[in-house]
Amino acid sequence: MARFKRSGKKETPELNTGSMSDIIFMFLFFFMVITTIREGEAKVKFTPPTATEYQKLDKKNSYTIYMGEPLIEGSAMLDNSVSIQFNDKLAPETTDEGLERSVDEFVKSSREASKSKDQDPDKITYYLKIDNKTRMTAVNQLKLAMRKRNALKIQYATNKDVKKGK
Amino acid sequence: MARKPPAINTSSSADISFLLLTFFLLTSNISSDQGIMRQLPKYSKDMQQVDVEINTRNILNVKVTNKNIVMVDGAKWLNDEWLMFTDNKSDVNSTNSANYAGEIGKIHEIAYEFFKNRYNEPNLPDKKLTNIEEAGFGMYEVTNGVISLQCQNYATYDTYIKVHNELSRAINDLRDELSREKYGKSFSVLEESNDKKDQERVKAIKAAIPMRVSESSSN
Repeated sequence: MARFKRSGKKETPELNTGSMSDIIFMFLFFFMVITTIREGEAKVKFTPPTATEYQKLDKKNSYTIYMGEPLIEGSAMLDNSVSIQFNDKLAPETTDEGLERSVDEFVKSSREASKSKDQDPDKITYYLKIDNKTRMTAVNQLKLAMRKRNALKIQYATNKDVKKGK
Repeated sequence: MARKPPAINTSSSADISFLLLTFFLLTSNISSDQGIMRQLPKYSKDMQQVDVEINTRNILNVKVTNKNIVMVDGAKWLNDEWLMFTDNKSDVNSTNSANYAGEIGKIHEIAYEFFKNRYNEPNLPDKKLTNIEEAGFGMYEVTNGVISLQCQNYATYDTYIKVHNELSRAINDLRDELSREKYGKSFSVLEESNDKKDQERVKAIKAAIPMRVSESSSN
């Protein structure tokens, strides 16, 4: 039966690479989505405590303060070796007055940034990312400085409690 | 006759990649920032004079000690005993375990009873009949209870947040109950709704069940 006879040499078909670009683009988008989330880098080690009764942060009008063990050696430290990070730099002084100055600077810059984004500077949320091993003295010191500068609306960063869920 | 083998059909690969893309988009948890909201009190220089006299029945004292043991004033339930809560039981055993009341996760039950005071007991906070105007809520008996939270200097932030979490949980449970009773929806549904009417209702419930936690740092 000649019709079914195989031709002796058969070329293997070329692999179509047309979809390769699609896949690459897909990965690109995927990574773009992931990486744009993080703004600013933490210069302190920090693991947030867990909680179940959290609320979502309003990202449009919030500014972050970090507190934890500094990653760079030789940084100024508060009680129990924690540093506070405002914007991109660690607070240079740890006395009450020095801290107040840093808070003052931070509050001013945040209010300006908020105004330029058409947000209400009186409704800024200060997002406190504080390491869970921090002693309360340091936390209270920061809170007092913030109260003196009238930065009153705060949100303590927490992770979802995986054990209890919600 | 040698025929060229047909090319592999690739039209479906685009569909597959789209499926993958949507799969990633839906499953990847874009790490959203979240946390516990609090309003700090205004700063005033003459702090001592701000002390408002509050009836003792309206205060629930909660202390976090240097050893991360949470002590709750049990005078309202027991005879002048402090109830102790901790996540690490060995801390209690080394001190005095007679008043050990459970894990920190149980504090919300106490706060709940404190704010609710369903039988109007004389040693729990009294209530004030108030007219709540938001959303035409009407009259409601608003509790006068205040939780006073004290933290010793060497308490850790972790324990502090756990206590805050428990207090929030008590308040959220109470608000949820009221919301279901009044509007037939849970409070979290109301909060997430964009409807103006629901937003008013949220305000009304918040006014009916206020979150009153006063903090002071002590040694």
